[in-house]
Amino acid sequence: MINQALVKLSIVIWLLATASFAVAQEPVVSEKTSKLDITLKNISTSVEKSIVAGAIKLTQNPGDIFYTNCAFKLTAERDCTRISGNAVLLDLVPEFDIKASENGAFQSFTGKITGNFITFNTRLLGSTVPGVDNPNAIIPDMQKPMHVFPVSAGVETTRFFDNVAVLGEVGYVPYVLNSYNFLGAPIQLGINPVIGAFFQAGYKFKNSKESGNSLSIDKSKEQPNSVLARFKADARFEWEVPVSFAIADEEIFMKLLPWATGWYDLHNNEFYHSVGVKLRFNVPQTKDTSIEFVVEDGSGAPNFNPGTQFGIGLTVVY
Amino acid sequence: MALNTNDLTKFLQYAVSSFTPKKDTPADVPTDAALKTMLPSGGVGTATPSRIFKSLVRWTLVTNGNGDKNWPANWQDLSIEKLVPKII
Repeated sequence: MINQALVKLSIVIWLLATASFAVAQEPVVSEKTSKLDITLKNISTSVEKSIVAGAIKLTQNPGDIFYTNCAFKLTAERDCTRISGNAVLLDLVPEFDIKASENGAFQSFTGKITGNFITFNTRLLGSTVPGVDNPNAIIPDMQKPMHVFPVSAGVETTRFFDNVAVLGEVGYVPYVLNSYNFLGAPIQLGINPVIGAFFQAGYKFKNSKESGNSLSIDKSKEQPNSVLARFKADARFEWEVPVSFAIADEEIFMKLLPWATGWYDLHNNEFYHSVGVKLRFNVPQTKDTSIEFVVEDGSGAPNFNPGTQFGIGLTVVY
Repeated sequence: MALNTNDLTKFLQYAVSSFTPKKDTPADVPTDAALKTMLPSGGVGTATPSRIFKSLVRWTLVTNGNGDKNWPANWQDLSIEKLVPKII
């Protein structure tokens, strides 16, 4: 299935390159003969239409990539079920995004593959829950640590191929659902609290549309039109404040959500950070709406502004 | 031997109970409640509880010979009893 996805992605990129070439030839040809100009315009429009149609088809049914340790011929031989104690899976989802203009021609294309590689222990269903019909079924052992490696890789390009951004990230997030903190209270490492380490690589382009917003000023030492390579460490926690108060007979709960993220820029030997805390209040009469007060030092990627910011936000969970 | 409806229901209860912070036993997990009300948010990047939960359930179905059916896009809106017949 990986091969099928790569083939699909290659076809789309090849078609994009073909269209880009056809469109790029347009001005040169039009100076010499208008007849040929019309012909090439028709060709490029035709190619663009086929690209947009093909890309939309991929978006509607991209298919995903799911490998287990039962993959390949082991599946037929059922050898995978003999791998008692350890197992792996790879779950990736391709995402294609086409931005089209009013006349239907595409303006940009983004293709990404995101997902997780997971290693974990296994156990028998019958020794886990009572009253089952197939006690020898193999299931993941979620009481033991699981090792999650998030993966993300993608390419983004414009209609004329004048900008091609390649971005990739691989990380490690330990999941220990059955653990306890130093006070003996149950915690779920990976969900709350979360710690993770990532390696990020890509290419940074100069943004031709500079913003006048001071918060968007790029303070990093990462130069435009250069390779990016960073290590990133992330830690975050959610703590329910054991004190509540009432407004108009509605009980208000508070949560503190501190976080700390650090980046080490391998290319420029520079360290950046973003540390902060959110104080979240639930909104009365609503179930999934909350108000957050945020204080943050360091804006984080991609601009790495070192200043301290205060903010307020409304969060609605759908 | 492939999992039947009863086995998959009990496995999903076990899986949900593992992800819930209250340390419920599998039998405490209701089969008629939407999964999105039981699976926690959190995680980082693609390492989210709902994504890992789905991956582990798919692994179980593939490993035990049930195959790998397409999941409904709104699977988190479904309860265990509504999801089981769609993926088994």
